[in-house]
Amino acid sequence: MSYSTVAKRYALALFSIAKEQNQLEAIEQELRTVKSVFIQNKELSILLENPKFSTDKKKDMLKEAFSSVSVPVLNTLLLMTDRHREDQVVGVVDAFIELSNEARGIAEAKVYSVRALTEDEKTAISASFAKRIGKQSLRIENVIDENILGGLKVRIGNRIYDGTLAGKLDRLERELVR
Amino acid sequence: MSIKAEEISALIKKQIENYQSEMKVSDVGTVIQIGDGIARAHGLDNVMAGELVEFSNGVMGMAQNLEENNVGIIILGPFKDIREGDEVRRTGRIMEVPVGQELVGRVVNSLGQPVDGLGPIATTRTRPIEGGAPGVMDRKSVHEPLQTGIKAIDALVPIGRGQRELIIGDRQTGKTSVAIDSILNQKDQDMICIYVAIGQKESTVRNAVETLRKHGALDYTIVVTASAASPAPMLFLAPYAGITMGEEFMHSGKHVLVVYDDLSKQASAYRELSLLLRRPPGREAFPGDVFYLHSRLLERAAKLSDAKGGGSITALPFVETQAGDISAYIPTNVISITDGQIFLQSDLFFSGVRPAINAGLSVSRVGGSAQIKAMKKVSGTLRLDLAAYRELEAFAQFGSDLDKATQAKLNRGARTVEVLKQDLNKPLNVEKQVMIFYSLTKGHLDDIPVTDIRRFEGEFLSWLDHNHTELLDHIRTTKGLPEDDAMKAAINEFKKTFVKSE
Repeated sequence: MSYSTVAKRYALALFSIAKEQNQLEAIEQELRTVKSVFIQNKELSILLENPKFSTDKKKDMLKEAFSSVSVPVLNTLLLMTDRHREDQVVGVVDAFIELSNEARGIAEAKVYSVRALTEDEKTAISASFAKRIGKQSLRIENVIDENILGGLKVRIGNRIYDGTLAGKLDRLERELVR
Repeated sequence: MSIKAEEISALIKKQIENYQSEMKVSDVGTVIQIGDGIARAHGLDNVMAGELVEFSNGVMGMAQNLEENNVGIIILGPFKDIREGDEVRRTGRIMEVPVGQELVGRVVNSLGQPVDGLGPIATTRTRPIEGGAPGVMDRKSVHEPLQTGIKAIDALVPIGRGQRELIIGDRQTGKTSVAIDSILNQKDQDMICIYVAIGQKESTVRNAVETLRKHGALDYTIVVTASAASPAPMLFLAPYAGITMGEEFMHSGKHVLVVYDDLSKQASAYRELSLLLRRPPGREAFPGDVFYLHSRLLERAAKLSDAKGGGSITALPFVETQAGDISAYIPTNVISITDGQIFLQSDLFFSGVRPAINAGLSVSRVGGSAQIKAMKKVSGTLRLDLAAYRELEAFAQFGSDLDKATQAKLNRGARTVEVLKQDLNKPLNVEKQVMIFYSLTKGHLDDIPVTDIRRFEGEFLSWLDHNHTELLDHIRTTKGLPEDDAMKAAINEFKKTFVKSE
């Protein structure tokens, strides 16, 4: 997936720090938390982008809120606040995750199914699709979707592998109507 | 047509049996911005420039701008129900239009879909709308004439098959009439005509179609229309769709005439798209590649070599000028691409010279070699006569005492102008054109009053039809002039029966 140029730059810088300090896993985990905080609290980004609120106060607030995260992550957040790039935080996290996935040879995948998948099924999917896209394994996020009727739909990045019953019926309909 | 339920059921059963239950792999993106017929999508990795993409509601789009974070897409259809966040899917195809004989006689839009209410078109083949032009070795120099049936054009600015001749002029100077007349004259010439109406009023297109139908020209004509009500992408694509349909015929050895009415509207539509796609504007706010827009289109008109079947596409692009300004951006571009131009002038038009062709500014760079021998002989001095007349005309308005030579030149000029006038939708065979030009240039019309010239022409030509068909046949079959004596005798014979009006 492609992100804004700015987000990529910050993510790349943070990524090289993480690699130098051998903290790839830890920092990625922290960033995921940061992202979920930002996504769950919409008010946070509104507040951070408010010009009436001084930069120092924003930084104090961030320091307090993310007191538990490691120094590089916190510094990144503070730096972005200084540079008025608060709106890019989620983008930076996404870009970082992509970089680290790239480095470890794994990919994110969204698997749509009618019922929750078992661990065994997940590993099987991971094994077969990872080979297909030339990665070692997949990090699977299972989405329950009744509308697909049956089968599986796997989304890796911007590519969709559609093996659902709904999709097949759709295509059949098109062929018949034509 | 009878439909049998069992047959359909059997068909469906077969399709279901053979239905591949394999997974469908597709690349998708997300619409992040939509409006003005343009969408921007995030994602869509590996999409190709010009590739067709499909929105979730089935509307197609064409990927135009490939940027780092997003793809600019022009939407080919209704864009009202596409929303931000919708899915866009790659199709892996580039845009194609249906081609083939089945299209002849139909009115279609830029996508090749029928708009004349005569039901679906059973075409079996398609062609990509963007394709390379024939190369150097595939071509042959233009040598066969394309008779437009318009005296002023066939004599002064002859057009050959495979030529690209620009028709340029202000609005309301009869550009469309020239094209329609040229199409009408292609009857029995084994030509396929394609009339591409870009940004015209639906009523105008309807009129043109009716004129063609009335004169039986729709039997060999395809009308491609992208009316003023269509979104800009359709206007931009219409000429490409038109020439693509023509190429199919050209490559099978046929001769095709394509009329683009008009390219300035296409350029405006392209400017609109480009500005909305945020491409940098240049002169007159046109994008940088507006020259390429027209050059790649007009380069596809060609005369193919014998090895390639010898087919041809003749292109008659139109450009509308503002107040006769041919040095504006689009006119200069298209003039430099084409092999000559026919310049229509509004003051000529209003002074009654119709078609209002300005003989001085109109040229044909290659058509001369495509004229038949007889026409070459009789039209050789025509241009000079006209030029001399125009020069003297202004001058002679002051004095009344003119020497004989000047008087003669003025007389001849006035008659030449008269002869070049022609009624709407009345194209004339080349042999008849030769006869009237012969009478003019050899001085046989000098003693006919100027006001009687057009009546003389009409009566003379119908008299020839009845009394001297051998002269007309001679010109048609040998392409050369009959003996001077025979011609002179025929003209004098007719003149004896002609009653002057004064």
